[in-house]
Amino acid sequence: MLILAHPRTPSERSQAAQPEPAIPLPEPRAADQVRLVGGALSLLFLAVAGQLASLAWKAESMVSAAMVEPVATSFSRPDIVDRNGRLLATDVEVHSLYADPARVLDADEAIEKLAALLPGLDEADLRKSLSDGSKRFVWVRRGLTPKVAQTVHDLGLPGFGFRKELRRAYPLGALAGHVLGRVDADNKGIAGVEAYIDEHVGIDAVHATRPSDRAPVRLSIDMAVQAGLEAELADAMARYQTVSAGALLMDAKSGEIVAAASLPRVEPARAADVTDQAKRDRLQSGTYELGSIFKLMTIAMALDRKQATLGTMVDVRVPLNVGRFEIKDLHPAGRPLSVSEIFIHSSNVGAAMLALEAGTPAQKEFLARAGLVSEMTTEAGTVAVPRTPNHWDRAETITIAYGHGLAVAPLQFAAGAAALVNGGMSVVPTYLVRSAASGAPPVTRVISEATSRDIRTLMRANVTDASGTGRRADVEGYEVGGKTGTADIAGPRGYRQGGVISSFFAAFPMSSPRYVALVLLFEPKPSAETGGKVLAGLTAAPVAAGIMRRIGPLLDLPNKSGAQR
Amino acid sequence: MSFSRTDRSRLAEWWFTVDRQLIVLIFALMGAGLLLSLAASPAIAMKRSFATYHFVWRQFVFAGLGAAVMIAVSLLSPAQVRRLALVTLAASLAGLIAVLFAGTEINGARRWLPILGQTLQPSEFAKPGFIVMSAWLFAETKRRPDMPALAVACALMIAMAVLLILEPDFGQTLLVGFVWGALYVVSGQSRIGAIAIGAIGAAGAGSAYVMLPHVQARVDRHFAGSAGDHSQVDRALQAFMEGGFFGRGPGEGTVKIVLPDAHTDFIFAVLAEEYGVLACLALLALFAVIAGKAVLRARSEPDSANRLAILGLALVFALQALINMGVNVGLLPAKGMTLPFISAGGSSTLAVSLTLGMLIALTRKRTGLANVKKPRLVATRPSGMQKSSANSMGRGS
Repeated sequence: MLILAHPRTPSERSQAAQPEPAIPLPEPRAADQVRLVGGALSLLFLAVAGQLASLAWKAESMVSAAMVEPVATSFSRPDIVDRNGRLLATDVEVHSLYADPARVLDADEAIEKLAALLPGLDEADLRKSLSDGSKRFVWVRRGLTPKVAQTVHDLGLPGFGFRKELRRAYPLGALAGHVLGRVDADNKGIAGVEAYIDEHVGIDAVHATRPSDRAPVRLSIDMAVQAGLEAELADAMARYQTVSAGALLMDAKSGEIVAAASLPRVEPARAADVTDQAKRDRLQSGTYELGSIFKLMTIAMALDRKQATLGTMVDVRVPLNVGRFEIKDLHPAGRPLSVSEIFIHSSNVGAAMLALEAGTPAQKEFLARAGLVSEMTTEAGTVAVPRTPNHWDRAETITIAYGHGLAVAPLQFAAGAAALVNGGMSVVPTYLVRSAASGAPPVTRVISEATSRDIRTLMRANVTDASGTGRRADVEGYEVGGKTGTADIAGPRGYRQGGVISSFFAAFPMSSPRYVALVLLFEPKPSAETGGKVLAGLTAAPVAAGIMRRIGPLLDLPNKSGAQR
Repeated sequence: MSFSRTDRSRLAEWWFTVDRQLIVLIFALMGAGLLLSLAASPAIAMKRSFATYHFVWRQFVFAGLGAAVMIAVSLLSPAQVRRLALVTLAASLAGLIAVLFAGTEINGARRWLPILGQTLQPSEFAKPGFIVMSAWLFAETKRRPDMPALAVACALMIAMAVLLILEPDFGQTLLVGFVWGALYVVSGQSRIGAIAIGAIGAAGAGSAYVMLPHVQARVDRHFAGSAGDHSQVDRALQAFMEGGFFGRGPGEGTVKIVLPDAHTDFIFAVLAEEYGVLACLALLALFAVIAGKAVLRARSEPDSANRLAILGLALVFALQALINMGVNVGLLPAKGMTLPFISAGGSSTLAVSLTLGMLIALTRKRTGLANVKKPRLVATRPSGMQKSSANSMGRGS
């Protein structure tokens, strides 16, 4: 060290021979300088020390609450129960296997042994992650059962370990799968009611696998009704060879959805199911031109505007021309029809003429009032936005009158149509039980009390009338009313031949409806039973009857005819 | 070590004049750095496919070199320190210019100069020289107002700022500018000048914020709370919470696996997670005591150039530590600044050794021949003998 030292200098030339200057400002005293610098530094050191102490104090006072998710965290979720408190979803403790690649001694041996115990293990992928020494943590398999975890543990593989995690379990499998949605590998909701829980109810980050102490989330779904509805729908799907099917049962006034199913069903626990396009939720996440059940809207509009009464006669003999197309009825009556007959015979020309008389602006205004052109959200997610025509004029007014040219999600239509039968007040659909605490959402008047009465009369007549399209939907004792719809499916180039959406909108009991139901069959195939036809009166209507017959006894309904409950 | 009081060798003189407590504290700090390099850098080395103890070995080697440099520099007299400062400043300024042309670009900044298979960061070495020279210039403004010392000091600051901004390295610019400003204020220059300099500094910082998106983004993210992506700082903060007062235990940390700069900019968070906030407070106290001892020593330093140099060196040492720790604990926006002697990095370790070597040299009790000249100097002052007595052994012994 001495070698590095410089020779001593005899003097500092820079300080030699100072002339006496005229100093403008005196040099500050050393003590003042030290006080200034020392004081400033002390403050800064104290600030850092204070922040350190407060961080540690925060950590001591809330051990589990981290600012971001810590490495070993699961999320605990509240249970989901049906309207009667029966369990639909809960958290269970599982063991998840991880590896610390830096500590794995013999990767090949470990992979070989694990592959024998864990079917479907991606050996190549695991070998790749185990050979990457820069990683200190890789998941091998999450969510092992205690028994499998014990077996893996007994292998005694160095570098492998378990973390306990919470995993969502759905004890009823696929029941109400579309409504419940899905959680990801970290137990965070990413679809359906599960995602709603994350956003509006709250989940808790936990270090331990402690189940949630939050109150369960109570759905409006009734497990038993849901099961009956899904079973009937599955039968129908097989009977009519449909691509898919959907049905829902909703409280006509409160909007509580008691059962809602879209087939094929999805199992929330199976990620592949939820992302499968063929299994998408038909009720909420797709929009469809629903066809003749839209005539409910057209006739309600005409009656509510008082442009017609049930007895007003309309001459439907003259075919209507829209561009190069001609609007015709399936079974031309060959005589003027009353508004009632237009509804019961489902006359396209009649509905179109009523809409034309009202005019395009009135139609737009009415459909907006009925909530069929605005965005809608439920606890199961955003409802697919209605597709309105870009250009809405005479031609569109005619087609929309009988349900083509305006595509809406079936759930949104059911909510709009419920307002027509419940006395005229709008309905906000919900998958949660409406309690005194949650309160009722604000509702608006869609149509008058009198118009709603007329619509109920028409719907009931459509079922009781021997020639009504809905006569196969009658179930003794439940005073069913309804409207059929057989809609061509819009393809990329015009309407597809053959494929239809067969639908039935029902309400019961018709004198004072408690429930509305909507049944949809997507592309039913004609059969001998249906006389080679796919009309809704022959397909969706009897399915609706079957559903009501099955679930009716489960609902709290007065039974008028004394039929067995 | 043991020396006789009659031993007049340079080493013996050093032993009796140096602040031995300060040296012990500084070696304690170096020791803490070596200990922590064992905690943080193996994880980083493995991640970057170096040998496990690559950074640990480097830390030991540079700590050894640094200790040698520090002791060697501390042997110098104040005048020699000033000469050394001039040399290192000139060399560093040349390096800062060279780095603009031949520098290695990392993350969009040219701060590193490849020399002999190693990379040097001239801005680190520029700081001690710059501060000692600035202190001398400010002192000269009082001693010899006829010399354009203030103008030279300003020119030096501007040159330094321009070179650092060209790299660009705004953290160092701010640090150097702040210390220079502090020296300006405590050396008793005009108030109007201080206000003007403050305004220029604020304008500079403001324009950096307005014109440079990454500066703006970092500052915005800091003040926007949890919004946006500042995951490094969040993760570091989390380490403090996970560690609590007593830590998770050596080797139990996770932050070092996650953060790419765990062995440099975020080593304080690694310390917090494994050894706890109490250890962090101890380290903080170590920095505070080292800086505080130096600052207090400045009170009895008669020569204003030396005094200002001591204050400036203590300030730059303490502020660098404070900025690093402030970022770690979430008080300041994210800014790459090493923690002296604790963070891995050769340039930083050697430059801090140079800084502290100068600090030790300047805080030595002036005895013997070094004081003989003092009476001669003050004898020309009509106001008298306020500086020191003629007794060569008298003052400070």
